[in-house]
Amino acid sequence: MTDCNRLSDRMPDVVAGRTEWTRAEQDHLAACAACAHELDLVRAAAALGDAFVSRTEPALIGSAITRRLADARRADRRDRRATWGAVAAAAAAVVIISSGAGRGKPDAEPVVAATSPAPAVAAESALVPELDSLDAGELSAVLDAFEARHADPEPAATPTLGDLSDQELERVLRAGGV
Amino acid sequence: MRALTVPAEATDAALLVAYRAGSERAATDLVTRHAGALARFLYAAGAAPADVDDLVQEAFFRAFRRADAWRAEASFRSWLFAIGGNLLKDQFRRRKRWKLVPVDDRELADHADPAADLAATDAEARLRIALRDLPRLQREVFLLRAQQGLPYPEIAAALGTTPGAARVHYHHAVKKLKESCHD
Ligand SMILES: [Zn+2]
Repeated sequence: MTDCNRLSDRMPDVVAGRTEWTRAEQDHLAACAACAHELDLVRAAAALGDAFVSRTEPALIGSAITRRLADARRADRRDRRATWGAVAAAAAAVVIISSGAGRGKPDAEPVVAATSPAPAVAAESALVPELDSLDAGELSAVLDAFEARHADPEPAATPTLGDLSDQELERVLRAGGV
Repeated sequence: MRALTVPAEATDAALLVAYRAGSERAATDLVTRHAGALARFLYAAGAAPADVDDLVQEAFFRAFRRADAWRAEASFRSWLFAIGGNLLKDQFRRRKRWKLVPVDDRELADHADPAADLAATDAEARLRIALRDLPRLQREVFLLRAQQGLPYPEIAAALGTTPGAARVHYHHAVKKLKESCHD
């Protein structure tokens, strides 16, 4: 590396005060017009905008940003609730259609199979605060799981929609906006 | 949000963690710490003075909203500058589209603010114009190194390049600026 290249690499650090020129480097700068010119350029760049900055107000910008972030978080929560509403509506619709089909055939197998509380939870999604933190993908996975169980019911000893009390049924329907 | 005690000497990384844990104060501290430098960077990179505050606000907003995406290889400051640089590029492209002129991020001089340039010294005005004529990567590497004093590895991490390539961009920029600003 030539002296010029070495000095060039060190110029921003020297201008910022993080280091100092050695005596040899000072001698080089005194004798080399190219390096002296480059040093002027780096100094000018380091100072560029200094006068402009004095017109900005970081405190005002800071409070504007925290207000926007709070608004954005509220909007996120609204979006999540809207997603939940849509999922709950879809789940409730599936439950109702299935239940209607099942009731149309008295000898049919139970149509809502639940070896775990998942289907009821999915249907009543908006009423289950623990699930409120799920994102759209996770919600979709819950719904898929529900549909998969529905497609492959386990008739023996599995509760059906008919096992729900009138009150529970009403909550499912309300959650789905049906 | 919950109140969280953040020590005054906390690092940027610690403040970002505190912000993610619910501290608005940590966000305000980060803004106070970096807003001035970001404003200088954007101004030097060709932002119209009237737009700088909005760009600063938007850059911080996006940085906080994407706080999970920040990786410690780049400092918070250089990551923030990269977001600011992208915003400036997008703003320039939008304006170009409004005018139905092909995009070229080397033509930032179109947005020069004559009042600001008149207010600045001749040398500063010349340097701003010369900077606007550089390709974007050369301009940003040069400013992050010469104006902000960041080391090449940090610049490279922020701009998605290698330290060696960043150094080459810097030297190309210096060569062109020396020619443009030569008396
Ligand atoms: Zn030299």
